[in-house]
Amino acid sequence: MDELLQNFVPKALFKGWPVLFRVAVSSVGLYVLTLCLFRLQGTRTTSKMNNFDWIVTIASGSIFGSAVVSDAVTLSQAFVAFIVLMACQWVVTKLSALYPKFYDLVAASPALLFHEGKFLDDRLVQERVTRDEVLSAVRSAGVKDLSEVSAVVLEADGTLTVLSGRGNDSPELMRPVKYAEPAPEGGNP
Amino acid sequence: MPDPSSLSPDDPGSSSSGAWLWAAPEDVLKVVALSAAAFLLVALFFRVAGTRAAGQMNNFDWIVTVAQGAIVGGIALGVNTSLVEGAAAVFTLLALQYVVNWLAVRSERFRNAAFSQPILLYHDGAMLSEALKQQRVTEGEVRGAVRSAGMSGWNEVGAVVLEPGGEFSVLPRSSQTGSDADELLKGVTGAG
Repeated sequence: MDELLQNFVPKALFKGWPVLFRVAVSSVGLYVLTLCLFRLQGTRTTSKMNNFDWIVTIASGSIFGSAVVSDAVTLSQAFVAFIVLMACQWVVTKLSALYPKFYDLVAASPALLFHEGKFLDDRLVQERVTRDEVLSAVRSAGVKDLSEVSAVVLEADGTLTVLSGRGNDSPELMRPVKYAEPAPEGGNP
Repeated sequence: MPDPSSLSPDDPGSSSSGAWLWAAPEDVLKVVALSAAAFLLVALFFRVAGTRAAGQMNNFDWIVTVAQGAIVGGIALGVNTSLVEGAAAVFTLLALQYVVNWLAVRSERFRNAAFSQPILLYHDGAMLSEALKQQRVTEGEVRGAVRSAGMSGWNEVGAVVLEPGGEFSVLPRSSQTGSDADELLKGVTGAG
């Protein structure tokens, strides 16, 4: 049976039992490691604080995948790559929490794109976001109409947040937002 | 790549020897250095490229981000992708996205050609079955979106829109007349 599989079934379909065994062990090993690492690190690892958090999460997934299926990648290499990426992420988030200056250095500041019924066109062009994308975000927030939106902010992680509720924004909430200072006509600071 | 003979059960490269488990110490050190380098590279590139670079606003933003993540993973392992190759690939994708978004905010024609439009799927108490068919969306999926939005009945729903990012927006029914709701549906195919 085994010989038949070796000789007649193309390698693309089946590479033999040892490989299947390797795949099974690698999957379980990496799954458990991922579980432990993420548990150890807390929620922050998979959240999106700045715009490259997300990339690192995907990179971890890609390493996981390669290690499971590729003969060229050993399990120990994948373990180490995983741990180093997580460690880098941990250091960046820790330093960001401790030193606001460091945070400003690594993360982009949020930008105000829509405020008090007006699109801030200069900011839109500068941040390369279209009006349609802002409208799309407002609809996604389930807001009935544009007059209910007090502000739309492009956050550091690249998502758009929609603040609804007429009138007074809380200055505390808007403090870190770029160009949040009253931007009367045309949105120029 | 190991030679094909290592795939046979009694060969040293196979499961029993554990050659796929442990790499040589210098290979492991290489992974440490490359992973750290990949991280720094990404942090630097995305800081320079700005917030928009990782935004998920239209449906191919997503694909590009996942591709970049996979490339970074490849750099970190250092098996098939060299650091410079990988960096060049990430840089090129970032640059392309920069150019596309740069053009999109400046030219409406480019925007219409490159991006898909939001599509109205449900409006004024009725499913728009033509639009549903055209977008290959089932009524069940629309109902799912309405449930996710926490609506307790169709009478609360004003409109359901399929956004360019691929997700659904559920707009509550407007109570007052003469509101800004039309402004919000501007540019949505099927509205107005």
